[in-house]
Amino acid sequence: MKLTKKIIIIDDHLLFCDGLKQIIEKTLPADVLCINNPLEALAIQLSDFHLVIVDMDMPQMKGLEFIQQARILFPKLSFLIISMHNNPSLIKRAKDSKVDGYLLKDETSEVVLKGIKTILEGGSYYSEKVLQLIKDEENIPLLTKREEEILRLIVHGKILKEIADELCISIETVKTHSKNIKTKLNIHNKADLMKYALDNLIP
Amino acid sequence: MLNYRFLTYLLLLLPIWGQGQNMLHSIDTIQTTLNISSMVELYQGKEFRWNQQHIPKLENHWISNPHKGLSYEIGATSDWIRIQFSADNDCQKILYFAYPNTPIIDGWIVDENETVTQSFHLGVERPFEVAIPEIFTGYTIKVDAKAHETYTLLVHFESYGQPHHPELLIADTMHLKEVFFQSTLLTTGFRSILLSAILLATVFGFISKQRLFFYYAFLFTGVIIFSDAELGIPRYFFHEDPFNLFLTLRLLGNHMTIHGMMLFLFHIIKKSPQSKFIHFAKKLQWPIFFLDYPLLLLFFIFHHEYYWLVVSCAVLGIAYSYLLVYIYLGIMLYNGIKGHRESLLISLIIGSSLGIAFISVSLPHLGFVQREASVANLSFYIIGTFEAMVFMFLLLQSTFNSYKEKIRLEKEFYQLNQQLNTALLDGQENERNRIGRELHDHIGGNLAIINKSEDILDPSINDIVNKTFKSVRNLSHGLVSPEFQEETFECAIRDLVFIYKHTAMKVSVQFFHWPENSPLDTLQHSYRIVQELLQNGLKHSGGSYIHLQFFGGTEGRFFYEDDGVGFDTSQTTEGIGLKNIHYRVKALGATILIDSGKGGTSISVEGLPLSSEQ
Repeated sequence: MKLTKKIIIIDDHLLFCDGLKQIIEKTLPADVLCINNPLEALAIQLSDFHLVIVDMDMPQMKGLEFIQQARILFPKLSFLIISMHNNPSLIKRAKDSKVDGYLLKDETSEVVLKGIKTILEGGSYYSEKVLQLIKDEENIPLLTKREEEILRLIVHGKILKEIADELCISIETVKTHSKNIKTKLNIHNKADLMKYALDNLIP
Repeated sequence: MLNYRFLTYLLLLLPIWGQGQNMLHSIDTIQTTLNISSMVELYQGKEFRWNQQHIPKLENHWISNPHKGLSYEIGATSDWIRIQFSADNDCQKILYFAYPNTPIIDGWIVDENETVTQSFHLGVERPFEVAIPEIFTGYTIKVDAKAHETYTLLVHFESYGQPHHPELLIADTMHLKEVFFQSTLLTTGFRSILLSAILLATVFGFISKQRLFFYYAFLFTGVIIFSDAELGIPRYFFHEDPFNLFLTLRLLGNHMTIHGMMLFLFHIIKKSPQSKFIHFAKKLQWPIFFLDYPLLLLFFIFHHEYYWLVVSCAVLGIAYSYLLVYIYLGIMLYNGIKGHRESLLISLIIGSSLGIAFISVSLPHLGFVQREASVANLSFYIIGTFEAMVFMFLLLQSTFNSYKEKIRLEKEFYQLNQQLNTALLDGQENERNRIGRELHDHIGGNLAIINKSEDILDPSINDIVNKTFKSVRNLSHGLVSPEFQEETFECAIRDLVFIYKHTAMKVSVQFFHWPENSPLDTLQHSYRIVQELLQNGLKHSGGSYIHLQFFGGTEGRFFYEDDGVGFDTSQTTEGIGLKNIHYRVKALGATILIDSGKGGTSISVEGLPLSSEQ
């Protein structure tokens, strides 16, 4: 890391830009340029920069959109997203579009610097926090407990009123549940419902 | 034959003039019905006395009828009439007094030798003993005439000062019966039409709650009462004091007709530009009502001899009502000319029925035409039915129109309400987004950088700033709505649920055939509803799980379920959150079903307008 690296920060938020610039320049041999408008940034010769740090949410343009457009102009750029957004879906999208790194704004300075360094050295960096967010959600069973219960009662020959009384819910809700069950299982008659219950060992 | 006469009569094609002679020759040749009212001589003498056989002795002071027309004939200027007749062959004819309500009719037929060959005592106050009992609209007497003999018919009327027009006809028995049969048939027909119209109006009045229908029924009930009284029908059912009953019923019918007409017209014109005057006039309507009918009752109780009662009734009830009716009609005609189609129609109809009334009542009275026995008594029914039909048509039309108008207004109201809802929600959405962005971009950003500053030496401050940052971020996420052009609804919901990942409740989501290309409105509102439900569930339910399911396909719906303590759905005061949910459901044209109790809370929102493709 003897060479001075050129870094550009694209974030509409001035204070954040300046703060980050100071933090980076204090630690790394780097030249940091702050641009507050992604549209302006697109007009610059971005290929001069070793790293582009982008915010996700800017009024003129969204971060991912910016990356997409910048890549058309300069295909070999490296991008690091530093955002407040911790939505799993957004992070997944960033990952899917092969953005080199994703950090949250509330990460510590150390994490931010580590990320920048990693990417400058040609790697990619998704912080622990971010990775935690996109850990695959556990698989939930097709029928909920309540639905299984209702299915069991239906199979046992209970009428709507009895089911409603037993579960302390209204008949209308029982109807909704049974409609939901049928939609989920793609079943339209009671015989198939019985078959499903037996096959799936609902007591 | 009948129809031909009827037309002649109505259209005045041929005014029939009286013969102007006082002698009826060859009555044996009369094969039809002949009106001889204008041929009689009137007694001008002052006194008369009865002889021993109780036959009147009169001075020889007779004049031939100077005028023609009912108003100058029998019962108008003289209570005594006479007419001479002769026959070429022996014959029997029917003498017909074509008015049922004359109190007393006494008659004598005297031959050339001054011998009384026949005498009769008739009238409403006498027993109904007549030659042809089935003819109840007047009095029939058989007259026997010998060949080449001249007879004098002498008749005396008593009507206690009341006007009466007992027309006198001479007729062939069979022909008179036939004419009467046809006339009765017509009367029955017209009466049935009128009664059906009244019944129909009453039923419609109750159904549509429009007073106009009741006024209509009132008006034409009056017409029927009046017409039936004139035809002598009440006497059939009430034998006690029939003349008094007749007078009362005729007055009642008359009053009801004119009052009904007054109210009917008032109701139609009350919203017209002259409403100031109309409402002033209306104030005077009610005194008439409350005075008039008690007066009629008094009249009935105290008998017709109390003439002042009749006069009061007439002046109070009729005169004022007629005045108002004519003023209303004038206003109506004015409005009609100014372009109000309905007003013009009604005024023309009333005008034309007044025309018919003039033809059928006034012209015979003035002597321009002579009344036919067959239609004389029908005239009231003809006018009444004509008016009833046209009024009914107009009433139904206006009811139909106002019903259409009502539906249109309801629709408009619904649309406006929808617009209001949308505007409210849009405003709320915009403001939320604005605040959310502000929080996110500036406050959040600032907090993030403050926390990285080396000037903060105290780690506890770092910790506080960190916590603040997190809550600002969560808050702003809650406020800013996702943009569904860029992000799928499913992702947005999963992100939303993710925020609650580390809470005490386990939140899970399932999607089934959910079409992502659905209208943005649907997605936006659904998102907000789910958000509201999640917030409420986490804050208040105290349960262990929340389960959300989204269904696309033919029935777009979503379903929320928790196992918490539930809340009272019957509570009248909904929180802002729940109210918001209802607004949004309405704006989507969807329905919401909330079931909350011991078994937890389940909420299903159905009928979402989703795209049918997936």
